[in-house]
Amino acid sequence: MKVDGEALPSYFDETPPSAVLYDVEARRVARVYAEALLTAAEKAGRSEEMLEELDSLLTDVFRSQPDFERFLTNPTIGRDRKRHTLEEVFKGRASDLFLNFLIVLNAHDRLDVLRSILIESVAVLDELRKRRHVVVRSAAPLADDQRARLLQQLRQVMQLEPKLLAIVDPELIGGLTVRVGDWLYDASVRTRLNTIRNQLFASSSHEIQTRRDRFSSDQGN
Amino acid sequence: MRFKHDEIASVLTREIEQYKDQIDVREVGRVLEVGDGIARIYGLGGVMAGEMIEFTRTGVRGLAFNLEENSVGVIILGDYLAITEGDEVKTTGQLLQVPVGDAVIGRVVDPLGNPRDGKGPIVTPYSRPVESIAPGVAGRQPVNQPLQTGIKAIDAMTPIGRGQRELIIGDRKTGKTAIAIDAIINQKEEKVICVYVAIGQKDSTVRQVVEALEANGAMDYSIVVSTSAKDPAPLQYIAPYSGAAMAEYYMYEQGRDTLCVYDDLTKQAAAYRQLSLLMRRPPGREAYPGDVFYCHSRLLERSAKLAERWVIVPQDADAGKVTDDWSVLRNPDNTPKVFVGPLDKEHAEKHELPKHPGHKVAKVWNTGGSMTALPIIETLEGEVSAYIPTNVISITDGQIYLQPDLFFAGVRPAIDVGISVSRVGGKAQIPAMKSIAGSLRLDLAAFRELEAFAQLGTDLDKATQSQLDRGYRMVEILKQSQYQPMNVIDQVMIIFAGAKGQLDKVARNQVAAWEKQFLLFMKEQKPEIRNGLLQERKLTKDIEAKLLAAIQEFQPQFKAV
Repeated sequence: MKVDGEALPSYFDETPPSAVLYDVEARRVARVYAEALLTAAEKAGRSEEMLEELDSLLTDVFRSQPDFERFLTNPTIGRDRKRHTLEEVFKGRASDLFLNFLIVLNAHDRLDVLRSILIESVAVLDELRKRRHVVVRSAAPLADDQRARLLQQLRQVMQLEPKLLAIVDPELIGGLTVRVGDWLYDASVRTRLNTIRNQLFASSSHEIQTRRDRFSSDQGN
Repeated sequence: MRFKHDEIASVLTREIEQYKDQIDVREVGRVLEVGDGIARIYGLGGVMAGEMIEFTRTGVRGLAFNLEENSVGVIILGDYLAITEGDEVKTTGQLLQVPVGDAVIGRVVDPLGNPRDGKGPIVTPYSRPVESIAPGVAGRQPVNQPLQTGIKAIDAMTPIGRGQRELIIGDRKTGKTAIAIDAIINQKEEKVICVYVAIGQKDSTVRQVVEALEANGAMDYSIVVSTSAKDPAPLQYIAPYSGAAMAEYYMYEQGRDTLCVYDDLTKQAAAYRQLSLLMRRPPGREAYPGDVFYCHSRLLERSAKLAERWVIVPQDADAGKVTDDWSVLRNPDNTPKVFVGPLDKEHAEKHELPKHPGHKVAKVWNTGGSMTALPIIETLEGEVSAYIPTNVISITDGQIYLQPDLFFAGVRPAIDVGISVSRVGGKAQIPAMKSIAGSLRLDLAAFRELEAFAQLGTDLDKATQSQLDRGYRMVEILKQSQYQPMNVIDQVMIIFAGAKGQLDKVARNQVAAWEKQFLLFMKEQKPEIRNGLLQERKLTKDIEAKLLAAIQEFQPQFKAV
């Protein structure tokens, strides 16, 4: 999925993997660690960096080195060995705060909830910053002034700072859709065409059923 | 037939002109997983339990069934094979509704109200929610009117009143459906709207039922809600509720009497168990979920005899159109004064009416409707203490128990009168039937006690032998063939003859012939007795004497076959 030419950050997937969803316990645990991480990062004023590092770990590192993730989440491998490896791999390459965070997770055997922590961290940070993610899909790329107008409108309606993710989706034919949480505001041409199509079907078939004589002539039977 | 294309075009143009453009706002979610009639949805944070949702791509509808911390469990009412992971789902803000009204009468529909009989679409402006709350205490009145099933054994021994719930229970192939169908056929003259709900049956069986109803002219006042074994479990689960909704329209809005047959609730419970297990609700006894009792109790509680509302209106008022507003009496807050229920009506007649000469007490036209339920339960090897049978027995106001032994011994309907009961119907029986049913019950009870002796082949004293003879005749009288419901007056006459010992001398295999010829004789040669009984509805001394005399007159005319 592309956002204005860039890839959509992994933490903003519209359908999170079901393993993450189902594990309610993991989500609860993740919330605690996410809050801890961000409180610590906030003090240093580096919350956004933390998120980026976490996202990068999950997307860049784990995706290219799936064995590394398996190693970290494998419960049969001792904490000391994992800690040693973590330090070796990330020392100097990641921020100290992030490395410490990983080491704390390791000490509590919680490296397996990293993905949930990312999802929860995004939510926690949004709450802290009083903002909300908004996905805007449009048939054509938004012009700057359109974008600005949209942002202003959203700010007014939501009373929160909107964080726009603009996606170009030619299938909409025209217009745009705005998605805030579970609510979808749909002003796309595709949906409008569908609506009018259904209305035409429903009303004309109703009319034909109720007044058949009007629509057919007796001649030619 | 030729279409007038310009007419069609004009309708389309008008629609397009009238189309109002507005932003479509909807709450959406995505399908996480789908299988066997259920789906798990991510999102839909604001969905309500029982709300209808729509799968946008296919237009299939579903019901929010389980609201969980991170997902919503949905039962799919339609083709679940077309739904795939990742599909968008939206809320509709509505409850599940079915079309109701006269357009549905005579039709075979699925639980969503779609036609299944190939007779074209159902066009009706009315609809009702499938799930509705049963009327409360104040909205009801005691059962006081009989629902004649036309089956001698039932109308005499386990009478059913309008608004009652009477369970029909028995093993497979014991004639459970036959009883229900006969009861429906007998409603022809009674002006009762009938709904037959087939749940998880074979399509061929449903077809047979519809044919039987059609052949006997019963489809003119009946609705068949059909789900066969091939339908997904969600449809089988909601079928009885939507059948009840169709009957409720007539009960609440037209003040009509209705009869609902749920054939059978065992299969509905199994469908509900399937859904609940797929939804990962914890299984309980026999793997049924904890709320399977509620599943049946809330359905059967919807059967009711609604309270009649009475108002005092001028003498010349049209009784068929009276509404609350017609009342000449006003409450202190200027609302019309209405008398609710039989006691209130009595009060109105005794104390209020004399104050208003030239007036009468009239019923508000659409009140006092009723819904009688005949749920059917299939047992395995006569095991009534299984989970679902005990549940439904405890919910209903009595049960008609069918025995395979009796069925194969040729006693059909195979009703075991010893353990069949009706807890409220007795009050609704017509007096004539009530007076003879007592002696019938005694005769049969004495007979059952002695029957075992008779099989030993020992010599019996005269009194015992005569009791046995009477019992055999009574058992013969209660036999009845299928699709031949009998008028209650005819029932009274033949049972009267049996109870008075008039058949004791007739050979056992001749009882049916005797009955047939006797009833014909009464109809053709003694219509005055029959009409008298029809009018009085009770066996007065006079009618009793005349009836007995008529039987004596008929005896020599009887020709054995």
